[in-house]
Amino acid sequence: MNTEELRDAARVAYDRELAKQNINTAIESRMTVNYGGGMFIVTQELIAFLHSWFGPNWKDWDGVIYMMDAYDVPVKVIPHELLYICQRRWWEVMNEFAAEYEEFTKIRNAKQL
Amino acid sequence: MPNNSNIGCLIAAFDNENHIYFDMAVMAADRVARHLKIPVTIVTDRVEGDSHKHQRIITEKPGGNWRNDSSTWRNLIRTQLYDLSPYDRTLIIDGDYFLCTSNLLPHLNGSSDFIMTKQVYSPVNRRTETFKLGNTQIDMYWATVCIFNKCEESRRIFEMAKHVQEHYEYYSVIYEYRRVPIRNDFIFSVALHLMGGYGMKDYGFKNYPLINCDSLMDYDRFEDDKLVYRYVSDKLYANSISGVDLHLMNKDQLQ
Repeated sequence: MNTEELRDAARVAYDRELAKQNINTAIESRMTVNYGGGMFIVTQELIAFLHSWFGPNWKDWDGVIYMMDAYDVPVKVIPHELLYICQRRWWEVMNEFAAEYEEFTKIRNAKQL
Repeated sequence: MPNNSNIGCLIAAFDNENHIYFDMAVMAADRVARHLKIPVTIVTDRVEGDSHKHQRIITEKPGGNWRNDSSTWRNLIRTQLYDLSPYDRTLIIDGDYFLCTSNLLPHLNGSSDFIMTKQVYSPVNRRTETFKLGNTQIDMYWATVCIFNKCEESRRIFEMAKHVQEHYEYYSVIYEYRRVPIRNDFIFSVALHLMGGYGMKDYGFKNYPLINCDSLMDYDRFEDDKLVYRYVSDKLYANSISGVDLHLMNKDQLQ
């Protein structure tokens, strides 16, 4: 690097909060799954809702429910099937996020980008 | 939509005096094929040029959206893409929309008959927001990414969009937006407002904001699907974004 490039690099600032928001946006966009011809956004609420069909009163129940997908189309859902798909996606995406977050915490200035 | 249906992507590309849009469309098409594994057709007037095995539909150069001293921006074919599409379910993207992920797949395999990007994320001000159109403040859609089925609802939307395009000046007065340049975003925003019961129906993508890398950003480098960029806020900053599909609007910085 010549002097001008060094001077240029030194005066460039780095906004960590923006970098974090960029990662969050990428992670959120990946939290979608297809099931039964519909599309669902994987959230903690959806996982908890699907799990609620396995409570004490629903023990051994293996029925079907209808849910609205992200585009407001009713989809026939077997709760344990969709739950498994959602949990897998959550696990994959959040593991990736954790790895990316670890890399992100090492970046202290714009030169490391 | 059944998974075995005929799904594909359309990208329109008409060169002008300053930009070879065809080459940019081929780059975008390569990315669609790599990340989504669906066929791509480029709609163009260019008979020659390497299209990397992507299909081509040859049409006449459309009318100009806008003209400055040195070039004419020609992109008024968007409203005809319903008629031109050879697919049952079509993804339309702009030639400057660079896929870096397979995030569009769940939407392609989803249930919606017609969706278009509405929410926008800015990698400069870190906000996700829906822009409003003109003084009437209806929701603004971005024609950059659109998925539609060949069905009655989509056909009507495209027919309405053709009508709005034809009477652009009239609708610019009604909706109070700028007449120049003619923007596909505005044409479809008005068409979707009208066809969706005057704004009652939301045609926006869910959980898929458009990442607009606009004139506020200076692209430093774009490699391995990661964009490193600079921008000025209270001072000069640099940052990076990856793991998302990018709308690289500063065409001059890509060449």
